[in-house]
Amino acid sequence: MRHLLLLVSAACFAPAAQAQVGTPFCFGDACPCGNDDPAAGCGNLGSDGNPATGALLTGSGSTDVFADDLALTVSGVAPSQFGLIFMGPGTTAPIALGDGTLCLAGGLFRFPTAFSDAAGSFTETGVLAGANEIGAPVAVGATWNFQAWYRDGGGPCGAGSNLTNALPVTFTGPGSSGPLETELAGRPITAYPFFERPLASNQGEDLWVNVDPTVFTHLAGQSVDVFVVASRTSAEWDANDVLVDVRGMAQPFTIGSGGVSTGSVLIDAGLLNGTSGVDLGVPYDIVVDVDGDGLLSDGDLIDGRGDRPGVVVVRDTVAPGPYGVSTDQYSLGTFQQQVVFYPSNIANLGLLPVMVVSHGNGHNFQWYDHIGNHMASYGYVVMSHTNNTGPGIDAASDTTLINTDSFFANLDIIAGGALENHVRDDQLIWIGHSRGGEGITRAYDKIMDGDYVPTDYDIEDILLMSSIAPTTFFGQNRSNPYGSNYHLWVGSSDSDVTGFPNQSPGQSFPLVERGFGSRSTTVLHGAGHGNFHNGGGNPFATGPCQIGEAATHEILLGYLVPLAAFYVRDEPAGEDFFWRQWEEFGPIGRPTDPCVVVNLDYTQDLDERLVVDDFQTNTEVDLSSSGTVVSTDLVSLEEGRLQDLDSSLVYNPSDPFNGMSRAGGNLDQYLGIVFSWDDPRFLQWDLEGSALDVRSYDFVAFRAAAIARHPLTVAELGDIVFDVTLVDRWGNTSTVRTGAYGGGVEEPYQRGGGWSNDFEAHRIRLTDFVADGRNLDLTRLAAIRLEFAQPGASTQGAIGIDDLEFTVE
Amino acid sequence: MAGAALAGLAVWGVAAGPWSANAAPAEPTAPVAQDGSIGVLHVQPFRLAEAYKHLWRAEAPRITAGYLVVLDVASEDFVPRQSAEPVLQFGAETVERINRGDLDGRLIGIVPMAAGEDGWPVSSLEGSAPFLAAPALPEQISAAAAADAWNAVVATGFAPSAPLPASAAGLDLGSKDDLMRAAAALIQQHAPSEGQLAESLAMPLLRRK
Repeated sequence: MRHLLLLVSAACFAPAAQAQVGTPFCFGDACPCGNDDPAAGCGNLGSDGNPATGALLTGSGSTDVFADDLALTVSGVAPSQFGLIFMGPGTTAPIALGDGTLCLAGGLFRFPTAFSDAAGSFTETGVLAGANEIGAPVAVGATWNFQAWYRDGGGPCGAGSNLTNALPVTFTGPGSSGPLETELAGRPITAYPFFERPLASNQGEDLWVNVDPTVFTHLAGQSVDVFVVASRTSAEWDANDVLVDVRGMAQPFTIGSGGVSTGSVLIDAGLLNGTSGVDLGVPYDIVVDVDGDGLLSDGDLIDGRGDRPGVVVVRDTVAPGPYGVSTDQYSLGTFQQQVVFYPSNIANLGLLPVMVVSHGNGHNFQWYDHIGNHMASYGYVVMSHTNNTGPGIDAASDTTLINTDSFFANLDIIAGGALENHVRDDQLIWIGHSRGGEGITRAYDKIMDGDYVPTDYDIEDILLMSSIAPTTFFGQNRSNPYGSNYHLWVGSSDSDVTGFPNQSPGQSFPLVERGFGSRSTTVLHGAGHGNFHNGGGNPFATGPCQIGEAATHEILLGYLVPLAAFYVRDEPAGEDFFWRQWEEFGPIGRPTDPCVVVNLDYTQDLDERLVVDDFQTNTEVDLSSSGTVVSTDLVSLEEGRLQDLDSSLVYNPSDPFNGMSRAGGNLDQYLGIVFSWDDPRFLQWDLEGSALDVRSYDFVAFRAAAIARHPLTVAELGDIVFDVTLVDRWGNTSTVRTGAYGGGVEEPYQRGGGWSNDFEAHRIRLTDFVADGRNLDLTRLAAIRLEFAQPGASTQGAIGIDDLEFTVE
Repeated sequence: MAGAALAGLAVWGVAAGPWSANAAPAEPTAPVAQDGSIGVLHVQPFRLAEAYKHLWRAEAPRITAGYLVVLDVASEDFVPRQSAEPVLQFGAETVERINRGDLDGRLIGIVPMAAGEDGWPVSSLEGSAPFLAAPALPEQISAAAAADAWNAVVATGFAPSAPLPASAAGLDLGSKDDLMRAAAALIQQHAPSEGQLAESLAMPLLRRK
């Protein structure tokens, strides 16, 4: 059992790879028909058609039983042939078998069948987890021999099969190949997995470390020292392994021997500093010094061994930053009136990022000094300009483009020249409100299409666009954020850009759906259109529980800081603000009024995720976009365009996508699923090959929204929670409830007439599925299953889901 | 969080239960003033040495002449909205709105006009009148569409409620910047609630010494 528990923890370990594992033997010598190959197994037809060359078995990774990062690769096989790797404790002189020779002896254990790829290779990862499941648990110090058998129709001896060389591997103890990198810092939670391991932790809040003794079985009951170390880069750790605790001294701790919770210890009662300069937070690395030598050494545990910190203690982003702010207002021409905000001490600072604010129709460029002052206090230069929104979106977009250029071109005279040589033209943020919010996406589109060529910046310099309650007059061919980092603000009380399905220009969500870069959405229930600026007047708000300008600004400013920090300053902790539920995490100074509800949605760049089903292809409900089988006993499952089909938000069974407003334009074809339940049901996606190694990902993720006004939404009227179950190829399962970390699928804002459904990001850390003694092989996942109305979960509900995927942190 | 929004119902005194209303909030559809209710308080011709683009029409014509006008408008018709607003026309011409107009009931606008040989507007505004055409983005309205809208209004028997005021002295200006400063003065005079806008329009240009 000990090994089993070690093996399932493989995904939480970042291994120190070795170039070569084992010394291969059993090369092609005295092969059955003279098909010798002294450098591999006996000669085959293989991938090169040359009978003088055989297939080769190699090992890479490490022999660490905890790492389980040994990868066995077979190459030189013909494409699309099946084969398998097998293991045995002993060896023998070569015995002819098929066209090859067998060199393993003793009880042999076979890994599942694999198919060679187009290059004629296949690889077995998660070797130790697999070995355990096929009845060959690996002990520390044991030597096992591996060899592969494969089909080789048309091979030189005519037997139709062949063998590779063999490879012996002697397995070593946990941490033998270096410190074990794992997620240690976080906080206890009441539901399984009983401990949350996020990157960011708010300053002033308790911070804990957890060493799960059911995962690190070799440490159960052991006394260790816990260090909180000022974060170091990978290179800095390479150069300096001396542990220095920022608290003054290391903390002794005896890891429990029970469940995951017995491995928790409070390491900070809110005293760790999170405020430094203009940074979002202060990064720390956490080390569990197992051998007590005061050094980061083999067998120790570390959270933050790479360039990414273990934990970041985050400041209050609602509070102003450290700099005083100066401002200047000037005119560079018609529709080039600008006001700029900058740190008063800019002369002593280096080059600062630039934030450009483009207002909405009937608004004024002087109505955004709350953004200007706040962000300038954090070291940004903020310029707000007059925006020609009256004629329409093209005029507004031109104004954004021209003002950005004119700003850079006149730095020597703006603010008396104070900005000259202190502004970066390669770190640019565009913020736009309403028509100006669409205008910035139109501006980006114009640069993409070559309709506008900026003078002083390039499209790659636009590191973030953030639209506040934007219109969507134009279709995806004209207003499109493409692959940019794009963020959207929506106020659910907005009575101007209303979001109603029959009011196409007033739907904001299509803009974020059109993009394919990193995209996030912040929805403020109870915020009106005019609450985002500070010009007063009509707030253009309707509905209950309105939160007003002050609370809207606290949220706006509190989230702008991490948003900019993540995209512009590469501070990874900013990402936590994009998806962790409002109920459990957010800016420290955020309003506490129970009326304030914020929904967060987040989709990463495509290259940072493995899509299981985005519903954009294979639109049958029983087939995922990745081509795998989808099975369910839901009776109401519909896959289709995420758009309300009629002009009414009244529930209508013939309009199952009621309340969706994601695809308002003719070309907007953004698809998803909707369904409901009022008794136990499931929905399952099989995974590619039924044995997907997901260890290179951090989360299983999806977006979910409650369906406005559906009778079961009304009946439940609360955060909807359900279970996410992972299934491995051996049939093991592990379940985490969506509400385990706080929140759930938020109920819709109940404005008169209803409101567009808000998608909310849901992410569950993959290693949470193997906590507290659960057995799940993350190297061979077979399925993701959503289970509804399980005991303690929401008994009923109606939701929409999109973008089921594995993502990285 | 389940109870948050519901709690708000009580806080804000909404008597009905959730989702009691089925209809969407009113689309920002200002009534289309085609009844001569928009008054004309001020008409002032201008000519410019330097042309600029009139972006309130699809063709975006370059203009050097036209009229600065001050209109007496119903505030509720001119509350700025983000969705499509009724297009303000003066006869067959689309009007460039300079200010909001709703706060004081006064809208300052530019009516573009072809220039004669002397550079002044080739024709007067006599015989035409301001009105609100159907909601749209002005930059998507062609000259032909604007003319059609005007002809349709005329066909209904529409007539200005009062004769145009005598034209103020012409403005012989250099550029659009100068024209906007003149407009700023009119805003200060007729729409003082929008003084912030007027001040920004009147700001001197930042120039290198």
